[in-house]
Amino acid sequence: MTVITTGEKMDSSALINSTKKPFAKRLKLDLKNHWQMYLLALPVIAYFFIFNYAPMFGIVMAFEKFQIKKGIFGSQFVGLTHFERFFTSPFLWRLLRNTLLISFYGLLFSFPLPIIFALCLNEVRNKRFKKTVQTISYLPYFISVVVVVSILFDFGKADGIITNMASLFGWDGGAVISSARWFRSLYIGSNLWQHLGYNSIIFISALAAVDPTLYEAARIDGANRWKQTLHVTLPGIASTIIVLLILRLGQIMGVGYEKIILMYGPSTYETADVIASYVYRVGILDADYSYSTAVNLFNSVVNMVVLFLANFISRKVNETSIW
Amino acid sequence: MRKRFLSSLTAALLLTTVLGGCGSTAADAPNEESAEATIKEADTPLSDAPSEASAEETGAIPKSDIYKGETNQQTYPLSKEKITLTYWYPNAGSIGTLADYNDSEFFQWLEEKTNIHIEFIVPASGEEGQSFNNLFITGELPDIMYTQPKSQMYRDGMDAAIDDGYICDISEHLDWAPNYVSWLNSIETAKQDVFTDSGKMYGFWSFWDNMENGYADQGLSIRKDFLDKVNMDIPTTYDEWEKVLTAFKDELGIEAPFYTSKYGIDHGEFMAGFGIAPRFYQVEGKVKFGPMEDAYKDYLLLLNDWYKKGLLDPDFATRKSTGVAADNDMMLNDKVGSLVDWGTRMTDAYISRGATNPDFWTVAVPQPKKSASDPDPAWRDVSNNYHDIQAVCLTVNANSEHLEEAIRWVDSFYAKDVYLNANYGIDSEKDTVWYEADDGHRIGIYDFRYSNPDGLDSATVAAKYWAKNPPVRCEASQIEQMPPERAASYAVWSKYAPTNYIPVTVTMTSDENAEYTQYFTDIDAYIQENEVKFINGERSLDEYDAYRATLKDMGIERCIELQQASLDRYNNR
Repeated sequence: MTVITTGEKMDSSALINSTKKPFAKRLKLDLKNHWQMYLLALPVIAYFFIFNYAPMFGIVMAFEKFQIKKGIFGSQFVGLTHFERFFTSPFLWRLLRNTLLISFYGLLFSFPLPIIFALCLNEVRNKRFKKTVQTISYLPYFISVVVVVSILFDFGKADGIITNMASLFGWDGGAVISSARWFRSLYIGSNLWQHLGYNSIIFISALAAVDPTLYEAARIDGANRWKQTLHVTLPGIASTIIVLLILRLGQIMGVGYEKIILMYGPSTYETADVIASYVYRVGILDADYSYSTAVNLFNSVVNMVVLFLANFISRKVNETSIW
Repeated sequence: MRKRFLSSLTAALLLTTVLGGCGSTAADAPNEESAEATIKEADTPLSDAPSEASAEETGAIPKSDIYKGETNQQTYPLSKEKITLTYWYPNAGSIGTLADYNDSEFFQWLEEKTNIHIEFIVPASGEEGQSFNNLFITGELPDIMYTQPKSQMYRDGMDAAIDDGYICDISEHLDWAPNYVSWLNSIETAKQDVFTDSGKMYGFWSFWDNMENGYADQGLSIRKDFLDKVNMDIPTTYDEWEKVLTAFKDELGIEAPFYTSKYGIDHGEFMAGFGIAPRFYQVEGKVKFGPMEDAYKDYLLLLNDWYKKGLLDPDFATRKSTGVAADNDMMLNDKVGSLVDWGTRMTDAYISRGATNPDFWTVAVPQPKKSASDPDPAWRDVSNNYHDIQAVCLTVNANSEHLEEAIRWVDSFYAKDVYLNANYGIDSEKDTVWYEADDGHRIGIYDFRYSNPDGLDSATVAAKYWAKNPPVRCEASQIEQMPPERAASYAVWSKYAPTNYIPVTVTMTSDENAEYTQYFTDIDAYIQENEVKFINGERSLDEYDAYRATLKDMGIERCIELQQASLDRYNNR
């Protein structure tokens, strides 16, 4: 018994029907009939154009020896020099590995756990208890990342609580916060602590949208709570999960630099230095704009390939995709 | 040659006015007689001219012409109408509790005197470098910028900033800067430092007033009360240090007997006894790179040994900053035995900062040596101070609407009345903020600063009554106001001549700079990372040769060559 939302199907069938007329004509007609809708969408379109598409022109810098005085148009064109420099950099593999691993582990833990948390919460009958737990769980989300990192530094120093706990289990490498082996665990663990509740909100609301009559029918068929979860709840939110998963895959190379640069240090570069933090160091701190643009462009290209792949696989396997 | 002639002429003009004894500016008509007279007395640029011409032909850098003069040569107000200049002033950390530097009595006084209002642009603490780069990208360059060329530099080098038309070449406007010219003439070594290799002047450099050989405002310090408790003397050799630190650890249970910042390496005060320095340094004109030297490995072996014995701060790998600014808490709670600290924090200064131990007492200690008979290390931290100049200069926007006023405003700081007021508080605050010593020079009133009657903290007092880090600093006399024990620290640290230091004003060409950063950004990250590992034992020091080989692969030898080339040019200036 599977329930798949039919929204996408309806859309696509509507598209197929209207492909008979050429695009320009359809657009014109649509503009005439639904101009209010287009008006409403205009600010959003403008936003994406101005802030996301227009700056893409700056990619040109990746192929130039950019000099501030000469500007984007006047700087000398150097082709793929910057890319060559990055591909021969001793840090290339480490940066790639760290970026992918932090993303992958992040996905592995911080993606399913909010779902499980939402499912558990869904089973709680006491409304007041449920609300309280939910509120408490997403409170850490509102703590600034700077504060979270300073808490980590305090807990992770040589006589901090995390280090002490680790030494109970035989750890003798000193402060965990300055240990390369602990970096990913601390990074992902604190992320999880901070975002678990907040990330589960979308699933909780998706769960609320599952038709109650389906549960009734399942109960009549003799399904217990576990079976109900397996056959009603999960399929009910499957499309939400998959769309969010694809979106997450689209960010697989996009480990944010903010938390990393707050947390890392020379002793943890080995596992902590990611492409974004490298770009920050080279581009913003050393003002090597061309090179950092090239590195970031490479990052974006890899990212896009992953996104397309994930979407393609998802479309083949279970007919859900973001486009 | 034409330009040379012009600058000679300008200089001659300037001279004339100085000799004429009039306080007005170079607008006066030249007086041939007096000009000739002074040329004979002064550094005689005209008679140098033939040799300079030949120097130019052979590609050497010509020396510029500077004349001796007197201070107080500006006419006030500097502007008839009230104008506003923007001033990029990255001193967020020094503002205390003031909202704006215009709340400073000194800047209010200066505004009245010069008729120039200053709009301070203060970037957030820690984002100075980034903010500096952004000034150029956005094209919204302020009229005046407070620049630290070691940490904030135009991407292609400061020379390029002039060529690209951003920064004003002050050597073309020396007639607007008579006070500064006087300063340059009064200091033998200054000329080499203030001119770039191509003979330009991108900034007004900061000077120490009346200081021989610069001075050190920070250095190694140790808890004297701890030493007394364990019955030991101030250590002078590495062996003695180890005994003292061990006693701190075993007898007193100190958590960090030796606190190192900068991920364990500090500024080189402690390693200097091995004859090395943290990064680039020079030995008689030859550039060397610390981590490539064998002695550096020995030093890391020592630190590794001490780390294993628990003599280092167990959290050293997370300590970025200088001193304990980032971790005052450790200092105040008796967890630190020795460290690199600032002079203003010596002796009992921590008690007023909240140290719980009433016996708190730190004293300055000399840099350790391998054996007592070794010569003194030829190194100390001079990241701030070299010769008589500081690593800070004020640059002026070449496209400023008020170029002349901006230059004159900056120049006024080199006049005695202005810099005295900037350093000690304004004239009308005599006997409140400062007093006059018997020989007429000013001394700040210690109690006013450190136990302020209005309850202000010492940083706010500094910001409110004088100018923080003015272009001329009278630190020597400021030390006098301190209790003798604290003042003595400066003498301990300043004892070491920083002959191995590479001057801050060494400049690379824009091509060199581009090539250098391409290598060195990665190298520096790699070194920091591995030094931490060598010290905490994650990487064995047996692999030091492999490590050096990696550095070679990463281009360290080319970096040394580039540093050498720029140092050679500096020495030939």
